[in-house]
Amino acid sequence: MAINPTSLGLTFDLTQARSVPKSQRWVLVSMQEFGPALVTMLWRILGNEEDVCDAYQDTFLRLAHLPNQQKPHNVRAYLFKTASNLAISMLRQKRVIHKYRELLARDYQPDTDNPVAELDSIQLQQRLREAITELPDYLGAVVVLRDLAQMPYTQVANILGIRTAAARVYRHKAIKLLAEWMSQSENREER
Amino acid sequence: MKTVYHTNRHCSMQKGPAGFWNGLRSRLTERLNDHVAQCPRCQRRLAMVHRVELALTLVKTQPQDIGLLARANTKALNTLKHSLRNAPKSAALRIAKADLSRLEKMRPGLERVLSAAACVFIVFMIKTGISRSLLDYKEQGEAVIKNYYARNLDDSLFNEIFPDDASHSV
Repeated sequence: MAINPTSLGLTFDLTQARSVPKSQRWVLVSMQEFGPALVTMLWRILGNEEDVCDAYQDTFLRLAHLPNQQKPHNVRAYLFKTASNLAISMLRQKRVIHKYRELLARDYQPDTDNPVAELDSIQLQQRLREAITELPDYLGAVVVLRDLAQMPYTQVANILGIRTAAARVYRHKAIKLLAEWMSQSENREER
Repeated sequence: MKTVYHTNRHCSMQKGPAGFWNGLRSRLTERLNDHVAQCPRCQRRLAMVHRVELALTLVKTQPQDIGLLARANTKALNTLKHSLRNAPKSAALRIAKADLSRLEKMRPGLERVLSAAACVFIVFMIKTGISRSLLDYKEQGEAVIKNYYARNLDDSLFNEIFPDDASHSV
């Protein structure tokens, strides 16, 4: 049996806890402060628990391993921007895999039309997520932060480093594009 | 028409800038509504935008597992430095739960209040005899309807509609 402080019942954990360097504590503080909102945003973007955990982990991993372990000027902005970018990339990857699987399935299975599925809310959400991945990054980020993270325009503008009016314009453009693309995909499915 | 417009403007000017803008906004909204009611292209566009809004609402209202935050924190903490992983704060993060909204926090209390109010309402109904009179009224109404059908329909159709009263009619 390995002899270590834990096996000997020593209070090593406590001493170790005290030894957390001050320069690193902000990582845990940010996790405590922004974690719940981040998880909610990721859940709304991804809709899958495994993916949420992966994206969340990657976000904090990047934060903790910044060059020279420096704290970003605006931790909140860094976290939300990184998380939304990661989540959208994950959605894009999943979409490619899904398309590939669909192509394979089409070769081996006959097409089945399901009119009820069109009304399905899950399909509607899926279509929205797919459309979000098609948006240019600057528009996608605004929709994610404004509509899925439910931040006010001033905060969205602050995080993205743009003006509040620009954030409003981007959101308007994004919704217009989403509406067009979602109706196009619906029409394609109907055919 | 011109006079009405002038009167509206006069009123809004009296109310100050806020009143002026509100008046302008309501007039614009009115004009927009009128246009949309007649333009099929705009109707289609609006329907498309509403569909996006609906999808966004659905995504937002999708329930989230209460332990998701704790799981995500645990997974993220496991990749951090040893010193961070064992910090006392990280222990709290591993068992953290998502913040409930104010309405959800108040739900147990609200439910209790609503049940009590429902009980009080029922007692009040019984005491005042409202429920009894409502039942009487319902019975009388049913009797009137049955009489009407009995007079105007043949027996077989009446028995089909009111199978409970078949024996009476025979």
